[in-house]
Amino acid sequence: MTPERWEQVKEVLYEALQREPEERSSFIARACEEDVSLRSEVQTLLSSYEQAGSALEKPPRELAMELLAKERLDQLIGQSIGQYRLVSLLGAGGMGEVFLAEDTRLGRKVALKLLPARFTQNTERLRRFQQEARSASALNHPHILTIYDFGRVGSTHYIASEFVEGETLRQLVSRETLPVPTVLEIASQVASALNVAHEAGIVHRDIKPENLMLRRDGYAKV
Amino acid sequence: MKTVSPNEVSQLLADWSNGDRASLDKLMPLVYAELHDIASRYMRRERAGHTLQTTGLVNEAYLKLVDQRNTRWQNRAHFFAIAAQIMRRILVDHARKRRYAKRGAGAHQVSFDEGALACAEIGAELVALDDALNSLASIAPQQSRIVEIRYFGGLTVRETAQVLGLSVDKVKREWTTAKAWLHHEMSNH
Repeated sequence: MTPERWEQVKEVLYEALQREPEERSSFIARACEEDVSLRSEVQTLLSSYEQAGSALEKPPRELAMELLAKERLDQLIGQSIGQYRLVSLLGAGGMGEVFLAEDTRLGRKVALKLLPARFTQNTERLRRFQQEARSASALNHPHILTIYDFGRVGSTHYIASEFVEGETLRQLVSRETLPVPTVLEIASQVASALNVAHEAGIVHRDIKPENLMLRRDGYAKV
Repeated sequence: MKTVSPNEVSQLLADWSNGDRASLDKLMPLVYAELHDIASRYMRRERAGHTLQTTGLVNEAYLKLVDQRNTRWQNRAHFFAIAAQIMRRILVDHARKRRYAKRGAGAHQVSFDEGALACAEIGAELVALDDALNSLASIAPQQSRIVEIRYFGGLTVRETAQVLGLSVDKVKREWTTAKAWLHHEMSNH
């Protein structure tokens, strides 16, 4: 279609759309007079319009936001924070993003959590968090994630902990239904971990499938 | 990253409105970085029950980057046009990559979220829309831009009219007929 033709089609089409649906076809016939091809072009687009419904009314806003957010995180891959080199993004949540990172001093893999700025700007909250990290790092339990390090580079606060090769309980249950014995096994591992934490005066406050890691051999980590 | 003062951003917008293509090359990464920043901040907050619309996102970036006292509304339009372009590119690139990955060798992992990104239908539609918008641009560039700003920039008819300096009626007319044209184009390819 040429630009001039489209202008013509647009004119008639828009006028037609201002009318009641049952009057549209006869309006188009009158407006196009002898021009049969114009008439058929407008008629085709009219039915396209009617089929389209609300197709373009809802922009993929959330998707755009997610992609934007993710792209920024991807830019961090390969960069270093102190002795840690970021390898890949493991997950993102309310408490910050978790990356798989390499501790270049010890040559081992770690899970590196970067705390969000809004969190670390609150001194009281940060102090409490550091306190908890300190107590948690003192815990020694096979089902509690071992904390290696807690620190700051520039304005970025991070926590380095043991990297568990596996998936979250959420990922597992969204894929398959677990047999009861497996569920009990996981629950009892988690309970024993929480018991040890509670005895040390630490309350997790956010136990959920997203926060429980399962190793490939079924070993659970809180 | 080097920070740029709101005054400089206003100047770049003005230069671009006056036809200086090089200033767009300087603006693009600035706007991009700001949108990234705001989006990732909001994505975290969203889980605590806050949501942000694209319009809000772009507005926030605008307020942060641009010196409003020294910026004319025409330049504001240019800013929204850039943001819409960025949104379009990011969505379409993602959709194309996903399609490519799906056709390519099997399992690729989507680890970041289980929600919107997994929706393959949106992806195919986005790719078709992008192609259709490109053809529309060849016969009616302004109309194509209106759709881009409305759809990808998330602006209402009224806001679109405002930023482009057009009447509300004109935008309504262009938007309505573009929908018919695009739907026809997308269902025939």
